[in-house]
Amino acid sequence: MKFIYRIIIWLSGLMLVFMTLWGVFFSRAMEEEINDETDDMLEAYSADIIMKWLSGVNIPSIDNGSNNTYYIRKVTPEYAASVPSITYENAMIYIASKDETEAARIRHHVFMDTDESYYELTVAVPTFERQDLINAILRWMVFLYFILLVACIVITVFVVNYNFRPVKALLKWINAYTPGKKNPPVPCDTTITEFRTLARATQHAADRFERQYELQNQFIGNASHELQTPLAVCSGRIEMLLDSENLTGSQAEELVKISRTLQGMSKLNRTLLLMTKIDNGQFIDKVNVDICASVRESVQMLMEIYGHKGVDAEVRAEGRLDVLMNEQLSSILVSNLLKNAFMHSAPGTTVRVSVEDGVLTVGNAGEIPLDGERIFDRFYQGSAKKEGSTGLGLALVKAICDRYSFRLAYGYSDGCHRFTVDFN
Amino acid sequence: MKILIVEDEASLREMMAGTLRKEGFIVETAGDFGTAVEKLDVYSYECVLLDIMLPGGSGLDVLSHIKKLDKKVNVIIISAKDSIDDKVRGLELGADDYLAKPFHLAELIARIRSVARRSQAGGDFAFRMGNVALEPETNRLMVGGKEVSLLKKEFDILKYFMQRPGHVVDKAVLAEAVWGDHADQSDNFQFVYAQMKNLRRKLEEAGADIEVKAVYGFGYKLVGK
Repeated sequence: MKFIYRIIIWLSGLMLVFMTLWGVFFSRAMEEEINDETDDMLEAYSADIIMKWLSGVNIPSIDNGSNNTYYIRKVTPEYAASVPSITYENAMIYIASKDETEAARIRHHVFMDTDESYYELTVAVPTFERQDLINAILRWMVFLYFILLVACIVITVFVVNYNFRPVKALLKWINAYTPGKKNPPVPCDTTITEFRTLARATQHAADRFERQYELQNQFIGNASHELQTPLAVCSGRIEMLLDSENLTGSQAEELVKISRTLQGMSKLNRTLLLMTKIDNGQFIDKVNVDICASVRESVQMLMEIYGHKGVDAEVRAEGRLDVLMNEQLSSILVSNLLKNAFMHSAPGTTVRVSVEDGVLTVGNAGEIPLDGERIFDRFYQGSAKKEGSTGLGLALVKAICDRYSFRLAYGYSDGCHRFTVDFN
Repeated sequence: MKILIVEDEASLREMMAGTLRKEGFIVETAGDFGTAVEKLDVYSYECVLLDIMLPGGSGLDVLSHIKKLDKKVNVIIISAKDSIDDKVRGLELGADDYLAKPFHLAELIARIRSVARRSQAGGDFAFRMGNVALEPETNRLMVGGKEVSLLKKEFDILKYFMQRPGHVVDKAVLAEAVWGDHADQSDNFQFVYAQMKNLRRKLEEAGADIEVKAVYGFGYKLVGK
C-alpha cells in the first residue's frame, strides 16, 4: 500500500470519529442554548400571568393565537409541598387552535394565591423538534465531514508529495542500484534531518556492500588464479607418466581418470574466472554478432557430438539476427544454451531451436519441469546432476544476459523445457 | 634449440624443464625477474617461456627488456591470468604466443615447435613426419607427394597429432581441442571414433607410413610404422 493511501485512510477514519463526537457535543450544546432561551421566555410569560392573576386582572384567554398556551389549576397544599415550585419539561402537547400535537417546552409553576390556596400554572410554548434538530445537525456534519475530508486530503497529498521528493529520489536510486556497476552517489538534496540521515545511511550501506562485492569477486578471481599453477603441475605430471613406457593398462586408465577430473576442475576454475570477469565488466569490446549463424554453427557441432546418442535437432534460424555484443560472450551464450539442451535430451528426442523476432528459443523434451527460480543459480543442478558438469553453464548464460540486459526466461509446457533469450 | 623457462613456481619449472629436455631441447631456468634478466643479458636463447607474475617484477617487463636487447628470441607467455587484456598487451609487446595455465605439456611442446617453425626462414610451414606433410596454412595434406583430401574435422585431428608425435592423447582432450567447448561433458566419444576411423582409413589408403594408434582404450598416439 502506498504511504499516501495509508494517510488518507487514517485521516478519514480519525476525522469520522472526531466529527461524530463533535456532532454529539454540538447538538447537546445547541439544545441547551435553545432551552435556556425558551425557559427565559416562559419565565417572563408565567411571571406576567401570575402577576395578573394575583392582582385580579382579567387574564388573557387561554389561547391568544400565539401558540403559547397556559392553564391554571388549583392544587392541594400537600401536592404543592411535594413538588418543586418550578419545573421544566419537554413534551408533546395538543394545540387546539391548530388541531395538532407539537413539541413544546412546558413550565410548571406552583404558587400561592392571596387566599393561601395553591395553584399550578402550566405554560407551554411550542419549540423545536429534537429529532429535526439532530437530523439537521447530522446532515450538516456529514456535509462538513466530506468538505473537510476532501480539503484535508488534497492538502495532505500535496504536502506529502512535495516534501517526500527526497525519499522518492532515494527510492528511485535504490531501484536503479546494481551491485558491481558504476552507481551515482545517493541523492541527498534536502534540508530535512531525517531524510539526510536516511540518505547517509543508505550511502554507507551501499559503500559497504560495494566493497564486499568487490572483495568477493576479487577473492573468487584470486583463488581461481592461484589454483591454475598447481593444476598445471598436476596435469603435467600425469601427462609425463602417461608417456612413460613401463605403464600397465589399468594404471594408465587410472591416470586418465585423474587427468579428466583435473580437467573438470580446471574447467570449473576457468568458468568462475570468466564469470568474475563478466560481472566486473571486463568484456568491453562489442561487435555486431549474427546470432543465427552462431546458432547454426553450434547446432552442427553438437549434432556431430550428440547425433550418435540419437538426439535430433530442428532449427529455424534463417536470415540474420545482428546483436551488438562481445563476440566471445555471444558464442558462450549460444553454445551453453544449446549444449544444455542436447546434453539433457534423451535418445530419440528432438531439440528445437528457433530465432524469431529477436528471440532465441531453445526447447528440449523433459518429463518434469525444473525449478525456474533456481535453474540459473550457480552450482544448482537439481535432479539432473551430470558427472563432469560444472553446474555453471546456465549461470554463465544468465550472467551474460544480465550484462547486456537481455531477457532470459525458462518455461515448461507439453513435456518440453523452453529457454528463451529476448535480445530486444 | 635452447630454451629459457621463466617461472616462479619451482615444481612447475622443474616439470616443464624435464619434459622439454626429454623432447631434446636444451633448457635453462629462471625463478625470478632478476635472474631472468641476467640470463637474457648474458646468454642467447631461441625461445623464452615467460610467466607474467614473477617475484621482483612483471613478465611483461622482461618481455620489453628482451625486445630492447634486439636479439632474435621467440617468446611464449605462460600465464595464470587467462585474460584478453594480458594477451593483447603481451602480443603487442612482441610475444609470439600466449598459453594459459593450466596447459597440457604436449600443447606446450606443440606451441614451441610451431613458434620455432614460424620463425624459420624459407617459409616451409608444414608439419612433417615420415612421408606425410600437413600444411596448416593451405589446409592440404600430402602423402608421398600426392594430395589427400580430408574433411575439416579429420584434418584438425591429424594436425593435432602431428604437433604431438609420440605423445598419448586422451580422447576427451582431443575432442575438446577439435570440437571446442561443445564437446565437454560429453560422456560418449563415439563421434571422435567415427572421425578417427575415416582418418585412419584415408591414411592407410594413401600409403602413409604413419598411423594413429589406439592406446589403453582411452586415447591415441601418432607413431611411425
